[in-house]
Amino acid sequence: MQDHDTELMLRASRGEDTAFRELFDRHYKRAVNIAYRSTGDSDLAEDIAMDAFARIYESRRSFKPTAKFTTYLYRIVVNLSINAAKHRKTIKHVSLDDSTEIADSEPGPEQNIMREDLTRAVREAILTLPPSQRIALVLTRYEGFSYQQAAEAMGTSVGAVESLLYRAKWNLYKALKSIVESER
Amino acid sequence: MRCFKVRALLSKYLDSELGEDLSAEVGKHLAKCFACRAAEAKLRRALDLLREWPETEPQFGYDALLARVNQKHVARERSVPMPKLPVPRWAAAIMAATSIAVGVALGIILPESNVPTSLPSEQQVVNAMDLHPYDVVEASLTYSLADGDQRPIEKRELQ
Repeated sequence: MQDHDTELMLRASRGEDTAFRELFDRHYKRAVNIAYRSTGDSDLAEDIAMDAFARIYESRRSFKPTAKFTTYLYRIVVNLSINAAKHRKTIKHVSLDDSTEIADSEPGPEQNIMREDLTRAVREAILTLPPSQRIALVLTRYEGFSYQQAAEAMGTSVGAVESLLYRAKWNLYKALKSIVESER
Repeated sequence: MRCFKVRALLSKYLDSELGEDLSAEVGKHLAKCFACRAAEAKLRRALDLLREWPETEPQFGYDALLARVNQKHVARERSVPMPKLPVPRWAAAIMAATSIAVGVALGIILPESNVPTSLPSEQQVVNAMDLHPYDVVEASLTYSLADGDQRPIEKRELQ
């Protein structure tokens, strides 16, 4: 039995645009956020997610349900993100626009600044990881993928994901060591 | 379980990717080993910090997707694609290698048939250039075209 997304995609392949729209609404935000945390750029992330959906839309007539729709979608997003991350040498610093959600809990201005500094440090620690380690971490830690799902999205083995994550976590710890140690 | 094994498994332990039995074994070790417990705490705190980076809200929706698809479609219609032969890359490589090999082989085997081996006669030159026979008298006195000796007559006569 197929999952709901794959059924929607099959309907879209038969020309039902409402089915594709539902798929878009269900997964677009997640696709944007995978790309966002992989590249560190919200505009680029949206471009990547849009490109992934556009590619799927254009080839929808030839869709074959050999894998889950989400595997298909996230594989495209991950590949586009890895390519973008590899070509992107400089890390864009957190802009005020990117950190608007931090101030939602209405703390004082000093706390806001500290929170922004922390966000910036975490963001930069993630973005300095090699692209494959970063994406493995993003998929499993932010998107809640299992190792198996992450391996499918990255087109690699579960063992490779395990190894990437082991290195990613220790590298992350090294990058955030001063903050981690200060919290003790 | 030994410390080095527990350290190697910490990453999977924190992601709940160890089986029940192995996870229980690691937990048991952590309860009695201060160094491993400290290592686990460090990693856990570093990972907890990830939540400090909030997600982003997309700016565009489905209409933007349709606009993008249409734009690509229009751009594709405007450009006239060159007809592409469905030749696989390996076949193209074989064809290229074969044509080079044939060229080299023909160069070795065939005689240089297009290269003239003798000079044309005086009459052939006259006919080819559409000249009056008297126009070539002076040339004939200087160079003898008929016998293949290109040295000036005067020089030959001096020998």
